[in-house]
Amino acid sequence: MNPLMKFAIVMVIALELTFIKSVTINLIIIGVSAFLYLFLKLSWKQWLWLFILPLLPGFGSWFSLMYFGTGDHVHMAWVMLTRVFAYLWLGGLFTLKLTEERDVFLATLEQKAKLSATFVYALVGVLNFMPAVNQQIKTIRVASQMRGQTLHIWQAQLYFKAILSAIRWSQNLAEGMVSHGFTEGAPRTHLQVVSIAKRDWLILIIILIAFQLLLIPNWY
Amino acid sequence: MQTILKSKSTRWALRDVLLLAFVAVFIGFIFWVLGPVYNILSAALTPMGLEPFANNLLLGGWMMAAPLASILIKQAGAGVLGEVFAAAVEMLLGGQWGVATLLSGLVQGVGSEAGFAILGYKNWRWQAIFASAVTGTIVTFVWSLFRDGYTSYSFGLLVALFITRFISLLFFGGVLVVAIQKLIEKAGVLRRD
Repeated sequence: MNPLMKFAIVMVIALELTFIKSVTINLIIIGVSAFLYLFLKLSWKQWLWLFILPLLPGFGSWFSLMYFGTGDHVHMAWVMLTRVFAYLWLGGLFTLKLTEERDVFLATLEQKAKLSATFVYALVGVLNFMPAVNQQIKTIRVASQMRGQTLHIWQAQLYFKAILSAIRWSQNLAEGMVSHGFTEGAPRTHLQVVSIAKRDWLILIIILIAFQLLLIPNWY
Repeated sequence: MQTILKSKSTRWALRDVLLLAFVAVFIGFIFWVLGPVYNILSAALTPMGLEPFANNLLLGGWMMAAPLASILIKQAGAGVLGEVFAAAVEMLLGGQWGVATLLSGLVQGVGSEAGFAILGYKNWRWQAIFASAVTGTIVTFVWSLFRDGYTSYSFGLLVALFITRFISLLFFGGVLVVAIQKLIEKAGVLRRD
């Protein structure tokens, strides 16, 4: 399935989940996601990640709603616990496969969603820089530690230095892109033409309609 | 949102888009480093039922990408784009909220940007930065009423959470951003036009 279509389904359902106060619906989302994961052949690390990551925010909300809630707070506590899992498991359907599908996703954004090429290629460029950004932050902190200063998260210096790097890198990358033939606003031809299959549209419509129908009964 | 769509091809220069994206990624990573600290804090507060305070206390930090993008690029839409970008980074790094991170990023970006919009996108100084901290607090709090189930909290706790969030935004999104802006101006690295 085209990753952008997958993304659209996931985002619409996630937005609706925000306003749906139902444990059952959340559990159905988690169940369906789990079922789909069986076909995605996840590594055990990814399974562990799916189970452990939502525990903290989930139980954080659960405890505070149990202690300090009013009205139907016990129900809401369970809604929040399952909602956090639903968000992550639903999102994982898109994000866990994104490393393999990234190029198609961005190409679809450009060719089908008509996002301007400037944004798409800026995204491509910056995403490739992510490991370097991580390294640069370490460098900034170590460099100041060598002068006997520790840069904390609440100090403007840390951000200032990060922004200096961002300014320099953005200029270099912009020059690099232009020198490799990138022209802003110019029409582009594509080596790989993305097409969205009719089947994908059909799946999107069926899933979204099915989900709306699911909301009709008065679930717990 | 209309203005962004109209101006996308003409006013968004490649260099600006890249700068915005890099700032977002840097902020995303700085707060990713903070992740373990946040987790310890919230784990400690969880059994007492006070975990939302950890979240509210640090929210300002996660929202810094928006006002920083606004003061650096000085364009309508920069705040929203910056924050959505930062949220995307957080999601890709494996944030706890999954896809909801992107939705929250959008809400946070709009909330922060509203402050600059109220002043007509003409003022990019401390007045606008603090206005964005105020609107950011209000907009994200309304979002939390739904997403985090805040509607079920007692009134007293809601007031306490709101104040915590406001202080966090005033510091990270206000005081700190103003300080950063001063440093940037002193260094003279961003003279344009």
